[in-house]
Amino acid sequence: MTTDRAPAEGTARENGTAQEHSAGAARVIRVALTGNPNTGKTSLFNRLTGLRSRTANYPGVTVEIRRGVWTDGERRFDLTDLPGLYSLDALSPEETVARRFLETDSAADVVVLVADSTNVQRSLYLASEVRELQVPLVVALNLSDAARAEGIRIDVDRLSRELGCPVVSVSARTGEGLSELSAAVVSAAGETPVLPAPSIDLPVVASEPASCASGCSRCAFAARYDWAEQTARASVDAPAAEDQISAADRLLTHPVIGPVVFLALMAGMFFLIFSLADVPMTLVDTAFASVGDFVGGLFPAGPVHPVAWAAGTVSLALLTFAGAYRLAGISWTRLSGTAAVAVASATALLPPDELRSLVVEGIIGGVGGVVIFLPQICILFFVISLLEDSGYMARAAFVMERFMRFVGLPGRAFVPMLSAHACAIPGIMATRTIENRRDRLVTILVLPLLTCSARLPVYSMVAALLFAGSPGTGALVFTGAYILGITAALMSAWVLKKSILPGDTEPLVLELPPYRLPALRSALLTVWDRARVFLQNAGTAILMFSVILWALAAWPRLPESDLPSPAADQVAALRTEAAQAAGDRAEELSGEADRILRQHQLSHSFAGRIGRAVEPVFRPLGFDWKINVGVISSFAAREAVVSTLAIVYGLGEDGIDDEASLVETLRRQKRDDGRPVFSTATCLSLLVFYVLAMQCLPTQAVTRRETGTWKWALLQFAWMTVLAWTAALITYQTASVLTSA
Amino acid sequence: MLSVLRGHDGRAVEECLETAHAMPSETLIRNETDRNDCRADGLNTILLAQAAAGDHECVDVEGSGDSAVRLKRLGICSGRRLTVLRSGDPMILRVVGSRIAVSRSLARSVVVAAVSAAAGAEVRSE
Ligand SMILES: Nc1nc2c(ncn2[C@@H]2O[C@H](COP(=O)(O)OP(=O)(O)OP(=O)(O)O)[C@@H](O)[C@H]2O)c(=O)[nH]1
Ligand SMILES: [Mg+2]
Repeated sequence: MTTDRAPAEGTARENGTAQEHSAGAARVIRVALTGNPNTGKTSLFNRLTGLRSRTANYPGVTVEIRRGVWTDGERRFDLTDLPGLYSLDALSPEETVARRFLETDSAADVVVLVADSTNVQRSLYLASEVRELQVPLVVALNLSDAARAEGIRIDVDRLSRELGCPVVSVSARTGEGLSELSAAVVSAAGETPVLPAPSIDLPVVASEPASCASGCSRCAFAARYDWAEQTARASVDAPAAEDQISAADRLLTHPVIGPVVFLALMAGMFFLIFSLADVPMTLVDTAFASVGDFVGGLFPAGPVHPVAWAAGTVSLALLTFAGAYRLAGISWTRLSGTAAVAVASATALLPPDELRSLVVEGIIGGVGGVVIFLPQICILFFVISLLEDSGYMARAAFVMERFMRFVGLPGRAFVPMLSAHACAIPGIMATRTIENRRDRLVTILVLPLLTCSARLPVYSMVAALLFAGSPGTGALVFTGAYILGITAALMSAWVLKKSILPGDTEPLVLELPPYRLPALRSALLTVWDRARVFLQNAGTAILMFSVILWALAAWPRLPESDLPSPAADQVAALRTEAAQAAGDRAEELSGEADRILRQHQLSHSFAGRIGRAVEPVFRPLGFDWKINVGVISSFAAREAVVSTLAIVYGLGEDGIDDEASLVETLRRQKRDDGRPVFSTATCLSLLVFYVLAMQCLPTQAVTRRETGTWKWALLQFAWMTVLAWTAALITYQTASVLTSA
Repeated sequence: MLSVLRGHDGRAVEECLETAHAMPSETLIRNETDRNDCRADGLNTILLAQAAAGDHECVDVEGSGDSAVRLKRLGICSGRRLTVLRSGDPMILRVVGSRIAVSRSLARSVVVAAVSAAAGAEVRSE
């Protein structure tokens, strides 16, 4: 599953499609949306179906076929959104998909060509080609609101006559013209035969011109564009296009100012993330802490009747499962049911104290540790969404192309690289717009190095550890981490191009879309979708991780009698002292004794053994064994490290101060020799490790799917791991020397 | 700058290009393109990669591979007007109503001529 899809709802509706198709009484008309890239096909699709596929103001956003149901009164249409095409000469994988769909006779009853009203001439080129496919065609002149604002008038009837097919003006943004569109589709579906296509005087064969006298380069392209120009001139009344570069573009595409603006924008975005997210994050943090406190208080202190206890815990556990299954969209099958019942019964066997620890430290602590970053994720996606809809992103790609070309990445890799900053999976999907297979492979391999939103929690945690609560320096850490990711990706691409995937890079050809005012509604909807995915993940995968990790960190038990002798003596001494002391002092002393006990229990547990077993590998990076547990547990999903640290360090705490936030707890941790665990050098090394490490199983699966073999996924994993380890080693060793000096 | 073009022949085009400062010398133009024989009207042609900001007419796109198709399907093909909005690498063109960024390496395969006076005037009066 790609994460750029609107979750749950989307799948539900898509499933609905198939059923309605077979059960529906009236014939369902199958409609395909085609058109040039960035003309608003997906926006129209979303408007008509109520789904929320990804849209953005640059070409090449849609790379997959997607279906939905469009109901208009009682009529029902089966709508298909296709990747954009400039012409039927498909060159890249995603264009081939769209072309094949259009050329399959049985695929659609009516094709709707979504044209850009602000640039009819360009859309007419594809229209002339699609007309010749002899499928019923309706031309939807989208963006009519934008055209009106620009003072463009289109003679729709005239255009319809010229094209020999119905033409309607619509706007995916305002929703105007949609009923006319459905009427046109219905009548086009009933009309047989299809009118002949307008005749364009195409050259018969591309003959080798012996002399260049007259028709030296006359080709089918030229003939079609001539026709498009004439047709557009006859039916469109537009103010003359400016023949100067716009003031905004003069700055934003400037070879020096452009990259500076790009960097400034990035830094500004992170500053925003830090300064705006601070308050809501504290709120979420204290909310989780007090929920933990409250829930912890609910547990009975004294002995409980075993039957009542078992009944209570089993039903609570089953309720939790019901909630998580609902979130994850898992249905109650025999397998999932058995799993739920088994785990629920297991919890009933836990004594109250243990269950309290599971709920407070494992579940609330673990999930809370991740959910806390929700405000940051929301702000990130809000800003990215505004930037994407504004048309700026293509300019960013334009100025960054120089750097990309230098390392052998194709200009086309820009959309994937931008998308990967949200999540590597849509990024990898977006590489379908890259025609050259080697270029595409290189891009796929380096994409996971770019900072995705799942790294945000880690960056944020480290930034808070390094600089308590200062948004300026926090933004600096972020910018540094993002730049490190980008640099590593470019460097890796260069290495790959020089070694196993050599070859010329495809040069840039990119349409720079017009600047448009972003729609606040769609930005907010994007944020909502992303927040839902994030919470869903926290309520399912992270929850499961947390429970497993808690169990691994809690067992096997270390009886107090088995404590190693120096620790046992220490505990005994503290206990006797506490017995003699009074009040606060006594509590402090017995708390300290408890803490020592818990620490030894933890290092005796499975998690502790695993963490200590890999110590030789990670000690040079400045990690202690608890961080190692975090590193290992984030193998499948990197944000799990935050919840793991929350659990591992939380369990090692004395349990008195439950309200302490994660960062405070972490900052308090000491090594055996008394130095803090999270020293500057360790923090930096941890940051570098998480910037570069491949810790995302879903991404690996998508790499495998898109490249066809596990070979590339494994190479990606191996390369990134080696890179992360080496870079973290260098960071830690250098920073240690510098900070001790 | 474009007004220089009005009502002039090929000479004026070169003057125009030189005023734009982004042009290599006349000899270089000749060496790099050597395509003057290709036009019946004897207009000087240059490569798009060397073209300065302003209007040009596309004369030919060399090659027949994917790169050529990629350009042609966007309208960078014979007979279309190409307005160079920003020269450099990549450069920005206006063609068939949209802004297209093109790498210089591709722009080297595109032959352009300065727009003829009549066509230029027509465009401006539109
Ligand atoms: N003002 C206005 N903007 C629109 C309209 N339709 C789409 N847009 C904007 O145009 C941009 C492109 O929309 P998309 O729906 O992603 O275009 P697409 O045709 O699916 O693009 P590809 O998937 O890249 O082929 C987005 O920024 C939309 O917000 C419209 O009717 N009016
Ligand atoms: Mg789309």
